[in-house]
Amino acid sequence: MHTLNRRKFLASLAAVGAAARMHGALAASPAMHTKPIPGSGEKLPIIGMGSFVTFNVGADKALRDARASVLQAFFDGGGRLVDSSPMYGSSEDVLGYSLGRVSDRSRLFSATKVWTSMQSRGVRQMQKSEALWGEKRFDLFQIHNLLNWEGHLETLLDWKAKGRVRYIGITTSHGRRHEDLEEIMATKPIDFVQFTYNMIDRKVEQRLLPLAAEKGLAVIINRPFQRGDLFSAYASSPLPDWAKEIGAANWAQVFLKFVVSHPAVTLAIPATSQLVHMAENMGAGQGPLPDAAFRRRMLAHVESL
Amino acid sequence: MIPFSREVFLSTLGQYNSFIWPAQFAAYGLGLLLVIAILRPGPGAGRTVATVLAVFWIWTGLGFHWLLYAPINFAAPAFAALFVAEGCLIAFSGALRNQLEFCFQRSLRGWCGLALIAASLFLYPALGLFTHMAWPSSPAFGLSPAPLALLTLGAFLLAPRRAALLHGFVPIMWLGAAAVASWLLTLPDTLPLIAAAVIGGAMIAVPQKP
Repeated sequence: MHTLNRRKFLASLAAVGAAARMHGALAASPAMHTKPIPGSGEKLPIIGMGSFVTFNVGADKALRDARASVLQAFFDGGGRLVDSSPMYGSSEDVLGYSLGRVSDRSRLFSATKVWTSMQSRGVRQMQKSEALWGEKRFDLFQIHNLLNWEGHLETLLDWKAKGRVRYIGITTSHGRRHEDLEEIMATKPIDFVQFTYNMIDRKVEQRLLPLAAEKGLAVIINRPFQRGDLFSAYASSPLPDWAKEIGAANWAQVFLKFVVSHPAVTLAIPATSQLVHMAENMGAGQGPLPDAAFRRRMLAHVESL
Repeated sequence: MIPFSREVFLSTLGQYNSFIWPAQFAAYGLGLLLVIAILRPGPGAGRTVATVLAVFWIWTGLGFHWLLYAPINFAAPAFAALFVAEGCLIAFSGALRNQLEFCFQRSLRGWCGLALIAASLFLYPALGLFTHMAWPSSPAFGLSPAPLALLTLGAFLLAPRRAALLHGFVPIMWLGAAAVASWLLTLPDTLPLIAAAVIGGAMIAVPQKP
């Protein structure tokens, strides 16, 4: 049995106060920018949430509860789109657990993926995702890393026609199979595309981002911090003075504002398991966003470091 | 690319050790039996060693990889199949056909074999004294992959080279993979695992003197 002494009691009060201040700060902060999904005009906040690694916490109840707090902070900060995949271990299960504990899950824009080489198994996997999240109808189903994309696209188009999913998309990460992705974007009736883009991985500026704009596809950006490499490379340097001009209070916001300010990008999906980092990420969706000239200035500075 | 964090890895190890408690004592008992069978070989000693190793590999494949880690690691079912296959191979060669012999000889290879067996018994409890891999969040002797790979490689360094080549391949590969995972998760056993894989691999690769 736990005992409560004066020190623990005061520490608990302090912790509750800190949490309240953090949630209050997020709730009271200015509204987050939104961008429309080109195919429908529906607006999405420009900062979403990924769940790779961060929500894969297995059966540990303390860790699950901590992730529920992170999800609550995401919603409190104005976020909507949460992205996951069956590949991410227990992440979908933990998201379902967390969604059952947030104050208002109606904010959720649910996005997951189908990731299997067999089309028939893909249907079962999608049904399992619905059960794990507790979602009767996903907002977005994506084909993970183009795996058996022909088969799964057939299924997803059928589901979309029947109203079982609102949007469909396709994803890739770490720069793989961009030529195949380009072909799909140019010829198939999808709504979303997801790939990697950040200040040190800008290959998609050449072809994929312009093509997405041309075809009217919503763009989700994964790995906006290049799996933490951006922090390793630059975060030890002092935050440049110009960061204030775009309302960036830390490097995370500099990196994210660069990504989401690209005209063809709809939103970025940074992942975190820390409330402090969530607050930083959500702050990137507020305040001024850099224009094209300012983006060039940002790049020049980072490349000079 | 590891789909879980160090925090989750250690938490899951803790759950595993708590769930199988007190099987760890039985594992050390079987380990003692294995060491006695190697140091005092007699009729049936090879079969005893093989049976103990086979039980450990099949248990670890099913209990650790399949039941425990599959929910957080998409690669775990493949690892489970690999471990069960290695266990079945050892059981077939040693327990069923009685073709495996283990015998300590005072040679570099013999001492390396004993050192790896000792490491499998004592490395992780010792690491736990100085690092965050303390009980219950430390790999259990015989019932977790890295200590089992150390034990098996050590045992087969005390077997004829042909058997070592056949049965030592999976443990060496696993030690290499575990070292990479340990490095990515910033765990403290990276260097011991690399050293074990390199030493064990070298000892097996070099032909024994007649």
